[in-house]
Amino acid sequence: MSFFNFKKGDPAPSRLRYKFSRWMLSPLTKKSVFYGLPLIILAIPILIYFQDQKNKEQVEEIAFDLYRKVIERPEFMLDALSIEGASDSLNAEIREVLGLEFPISSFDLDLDKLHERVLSLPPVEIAEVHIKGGGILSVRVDEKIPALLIKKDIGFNVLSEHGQYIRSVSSREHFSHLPLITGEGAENVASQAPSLFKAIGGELDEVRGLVFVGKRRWNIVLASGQVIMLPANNPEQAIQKILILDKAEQILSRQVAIFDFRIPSRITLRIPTDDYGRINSEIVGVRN
Amino acid sequence: MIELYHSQRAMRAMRSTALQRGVIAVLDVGTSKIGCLILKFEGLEEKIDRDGVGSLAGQSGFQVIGSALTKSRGIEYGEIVSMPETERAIRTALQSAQKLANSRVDHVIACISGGSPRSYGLEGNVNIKSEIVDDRDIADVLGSCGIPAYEPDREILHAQPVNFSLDHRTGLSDPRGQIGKNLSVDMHMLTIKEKTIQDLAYCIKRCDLELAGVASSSYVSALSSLVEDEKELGAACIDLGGGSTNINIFWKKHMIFAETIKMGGELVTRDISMGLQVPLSTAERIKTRSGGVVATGLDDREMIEIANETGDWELDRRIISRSDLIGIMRPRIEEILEDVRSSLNSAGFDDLPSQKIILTGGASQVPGIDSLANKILGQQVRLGRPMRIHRLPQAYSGPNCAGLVGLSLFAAHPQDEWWDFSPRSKNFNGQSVSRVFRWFRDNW
Repeated sequence: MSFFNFKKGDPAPSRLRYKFSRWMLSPLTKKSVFYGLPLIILAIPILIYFQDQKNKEQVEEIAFDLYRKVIERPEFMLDALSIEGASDSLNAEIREVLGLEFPISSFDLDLDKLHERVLSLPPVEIAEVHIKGGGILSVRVDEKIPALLIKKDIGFNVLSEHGQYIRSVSSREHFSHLPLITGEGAENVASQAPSLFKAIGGELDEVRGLVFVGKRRWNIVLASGQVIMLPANNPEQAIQKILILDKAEQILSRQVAIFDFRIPSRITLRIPTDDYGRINSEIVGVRN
Repeated sequence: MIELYHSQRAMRAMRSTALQRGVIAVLDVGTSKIGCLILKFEGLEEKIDRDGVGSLAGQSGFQVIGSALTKSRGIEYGEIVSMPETERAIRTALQSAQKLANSRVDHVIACISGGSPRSYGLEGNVNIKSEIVDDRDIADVLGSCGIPAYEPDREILHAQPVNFSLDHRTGLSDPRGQIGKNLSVDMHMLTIKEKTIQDLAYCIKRCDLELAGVASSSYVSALSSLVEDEKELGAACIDLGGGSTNINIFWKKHMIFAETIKMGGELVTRDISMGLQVPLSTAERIKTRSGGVVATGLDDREMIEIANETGDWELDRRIISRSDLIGIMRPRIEEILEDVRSSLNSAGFDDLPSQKIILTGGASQVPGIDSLANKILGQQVRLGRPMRIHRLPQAYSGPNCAGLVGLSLFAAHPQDEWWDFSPRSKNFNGQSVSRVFRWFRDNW
């Protein structure tokens, strides 16, 4: 009896109890009990609630409605699109490519994407897209300036100074003032052409266009049918030479079919021949 | 079973890991009570580096976050007689202290009063190889001390260098960096019974704790009770504990003598119990509430009711005068103090420049003990209380907790001991290579 009483009155914890209390006081257990347990208790009812598909949809719907309500406030709505710096045809193209239906909330717009879309139009050089106060989506563009016309199998392509494609046209009528280039692979090296035209300047008024030959060099075709063959290297210098020669000797006004400047140190002239290779001053044509 | 001497260095490493973790427990296993404090260390290093002593005598680097006092069980005269009982008592103290601290503690520094400590004075002498004294020279001179023959059942508990002499200069506390030829050291060594310390270590291990240091309780209670100049000029700290009375002499800030007398406050309780025919618990209550050692005329008229609970009315309702109680207590306390006197005499305490005696420990709370001690021990007796440490509960600030507080100080700033200096290995290269080789052979 006394033995049991003694045990009951013993203030000492049993070994197991002692170990358990030490385990409970170890840092990791302490943290997980004080933070982890309440979290789990909070999380379990929420998880059970969302286990039901109906509840989940309901909550999602409420959240979505709330979201729409906020973003469709008049402060965030856009009513109009303003386009600056675009010609009428480009204006229509931009409207088409943006494909926006107003009014629209500014939250539903991805300005970067719109900017990319506008830039993807060939005639656009630079574009800015931003939202202006008063509910206006503003698009500012700089169009590329047409500088060259390249002849294709069907119709023509208008190119910029740097040889970038702007648009295709079926006839030259609107762009008759632009210099013309042609030849296989000419569109890849179109950016060389403006400097050649610049070198020619107004000196040769009867230039019909440039022909890219052999994927490496240019020919100048004059209105008279005469052809000036330029070297692959440094054609601008050759043009200068021709112009000087023309000024001094008026060579271009002579009856010569082809001025061969391919080797600048050895200029060759070809006299026009007929189909049989006979020289005939009556025939003015190019055998190409 | 731990081999104390070889594990001292490991315990020092354990202490530094505990300080890194920031929490360490101190455990005073006494005859009448087991006390446990849990200390939290923070920013200790920066406080040490500061000039001067700093606030709270440089002890402000730690604070007490948990504390527990429980009745001791299974211990007599400072020695464990019943291992499971002692283990339970330690568990009780530790669990409640841990609960208060709200943190788990894995390292404990313990002190024990029993094991009949014995002091030895050692001397060592070496010639210095390089001109300037460095750590290796200190290790050499400590190693050169002739170890006295002590019984094989004893172990070295403390081995502290007390005084260094360099050539003709003596009284150096730290000769490192000084220039000289001949270095000698005086060392104080304390041995206790191996079994006592092993029992304690086993109990602590059974409680899933790592022992990070052991100290003699007479040493630690002197650490907390003596003030700086008493430690410097020479003083004896008498810790009147429950089961034993510890004597510790300090001089030049170092312990130079320690001894234990196997008589304490519980003996007084036992005398009262026998003299008044009451159980020990009642005797203890009467002793603490009304005890004294100097009888006056008033004490004849102050009546004490022995409120016993045996059920025998005649026996339980007795009334005695306080003079009767003093008559029982005084001879025993006189006897204890006489023993202290003879012990001090044999230690040569009279030769010290200062004869200060400080009484501390639970039994020093008996009213009038200081005037009685004046008659027996000399005029310079005062009652000592442990110094304050941060966040120490009020209940632990009395002289009965001197050991506990001193152990906290010991945990924070232990004295350099023999094993803190690594000796110079004779042939450094060959030995270390062969050791590495042996390690590979044993482990792969």
